[in-house]
Amino acid sequence: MRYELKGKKNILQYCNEEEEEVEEEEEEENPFAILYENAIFDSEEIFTHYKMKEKNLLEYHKQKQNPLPNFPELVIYNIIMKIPAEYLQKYRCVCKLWHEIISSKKFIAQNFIHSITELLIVVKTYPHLKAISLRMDEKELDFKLEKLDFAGMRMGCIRSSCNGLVLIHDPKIEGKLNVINFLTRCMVKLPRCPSGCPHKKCGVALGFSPSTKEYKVVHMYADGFGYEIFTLGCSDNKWKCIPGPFKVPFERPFNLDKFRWSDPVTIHGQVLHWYVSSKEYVISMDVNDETPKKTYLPTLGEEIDRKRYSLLEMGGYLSVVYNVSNIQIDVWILKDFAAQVWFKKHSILAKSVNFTTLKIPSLPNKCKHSLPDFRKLVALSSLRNGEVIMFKHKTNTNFGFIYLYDIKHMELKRFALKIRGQSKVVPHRSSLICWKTKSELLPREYI
Amino acid sequence: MSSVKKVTLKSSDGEIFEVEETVAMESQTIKGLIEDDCADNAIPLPNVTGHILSLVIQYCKEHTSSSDSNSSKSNEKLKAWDTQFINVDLNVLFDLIMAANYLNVKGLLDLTCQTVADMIKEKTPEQIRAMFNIVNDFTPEEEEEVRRENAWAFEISLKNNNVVDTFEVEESMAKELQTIKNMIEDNYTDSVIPLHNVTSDILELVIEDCKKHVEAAESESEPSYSLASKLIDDPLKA
Repeated sequence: MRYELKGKKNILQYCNEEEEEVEEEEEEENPFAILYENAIFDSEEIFTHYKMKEKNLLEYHKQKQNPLPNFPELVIYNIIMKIPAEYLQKYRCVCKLWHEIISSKKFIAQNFIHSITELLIVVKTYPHLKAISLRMDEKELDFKLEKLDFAGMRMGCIRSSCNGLVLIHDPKIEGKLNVINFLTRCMVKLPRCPSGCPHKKCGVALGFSPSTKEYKVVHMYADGFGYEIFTLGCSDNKWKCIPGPFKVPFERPFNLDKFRWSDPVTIHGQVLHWYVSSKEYVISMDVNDETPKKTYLPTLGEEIDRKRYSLLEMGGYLSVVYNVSNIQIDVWILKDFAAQVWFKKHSILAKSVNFTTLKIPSLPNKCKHSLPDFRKLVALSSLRNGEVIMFKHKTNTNFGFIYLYDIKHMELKRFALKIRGQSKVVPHRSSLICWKTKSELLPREYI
Repeated sequence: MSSVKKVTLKSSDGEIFEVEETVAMESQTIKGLIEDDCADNAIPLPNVTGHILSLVIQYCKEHTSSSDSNSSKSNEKLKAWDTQFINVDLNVLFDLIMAANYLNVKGLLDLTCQTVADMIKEKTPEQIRAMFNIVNDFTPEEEEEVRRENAWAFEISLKNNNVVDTFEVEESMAKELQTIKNMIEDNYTDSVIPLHNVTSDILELVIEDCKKHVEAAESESEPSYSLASKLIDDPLKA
């Protein structure tokens, strides 16, 4: 195949002259003049390569006409700080100043403040797991999906995220947990739990204690064993065991045969809340004091059905999303953790909801515009700082549906997204936290 | 009618602006001068031209009135105004940054820096250097070191760490490998491309296969993609 580029000079001349031509300013400014014309290529690849060169040259010329003033370092710091962490990784090599700024711990902490929440979803595909990242659109009720890169290696199951660090199963060794930062590619391997838990049906989370500046992994397999807590970077590299929340067996609100602990909800990485199948309370723990206690659910005026509520993090608070009936869902927020004060943030009413569904061709027509039965909607996570709630439908149909609900505009939208059964959805904010050796994990100055 | 206190500001090119004191106090710099009683006459601002100063004053006016309890400007409306305000030429934007920094107007500095950050984030390091007139003061070895810092800690190192073979290949062949193709297009590779995860013997096999592919493509025969992808996957896991 032959590809033509119109022009005057031939290829060879272009290649040789390129470097000098760029410097010449007195030449009447047609930056295209240096590009070759009437060249014929034999392969598409070389053609696209030169097309790329042409494009870069044009951009270079455009920018040469706008030389920047020399910004003071503080201004550069301010600008770089607002760039999302995932781009900053490759900007380390721009120059030494940028490298210094991006590597400084104070900068990393301040940059993290601007980080936007995305959802990490672990999808069970054959033969291994795959993780995708879901990012909410800024303005519309819509999202983008991106596959998470793990250097072509197998992905383990993601359990929890805190300050950009992700708690993840080791894909090769059963029962082992790692803490990883996907952006900076730093990793810590945790020793096995004293309980020997294979981590298939347990509740584990990564938290950060701001008073001691320590990262802790809190694990609960069976409350007979108690909580197992591991501090990243601790000198003895051992898990610590503390007693569980129930002192006597009959205190347990759940059926010991059927109940399995699940991953808690993490609020600001500091307070963890576990669902214990109770109609009265949830079990909470502040990572600072490591003491489990009961947090009582809001009084709804009727007895709470313990199968009809989910726990979520919403805008920095614990939220209980309760399926009141097939046409109403109530959203409650724990405004004050210490004083246990709840506040009803919103009621999703079927009659006030503006419902749309994206084109799903195989869906029978009658389903297309009908609101789902609210009793079947399970809240998974909140997005956009608590403005949007993501639901999934309890029944597993051919298509996995998820629903996004915008609280302010009372808009409910249905999307086709295969989140099967027990797929985990973990809210995550990227950061550039890194360490070269384990000893850098403790002590920490910022985050 | 209550008398509103005004201050006079003088730009670098001699333009005079009279503004209400509350508006001028959005600038921490000017606020300091007023509080130190240095503002009886016109305050000279030698680092800000008239055009830019007028824009800064516009911004301050809009944002002062929004903190009044009387004004009903909602956050959304203010954001919309900001978006429209900041839609200016790149040169003007940079001058605004310098002015906001000098006059210490926090909101304007944040807004302008955010706009520039949004512009930057799609660019390659090369383009950033061109845009900011930054000189790359890394030596090639140092730059290589920086790039290597970003490798996964568990990636396997070379079997023979001492033996480093370089292979010269035609660009068209190297482009068979998507990773290398991306590197080339990003202009990361003027000299040797290091491949940490691939030993010499494996690399030889890969190059062999790439050669076959390029030849196959030229003779328009059925390319054996499955073989290639298997070969490429294995070295990375080996």
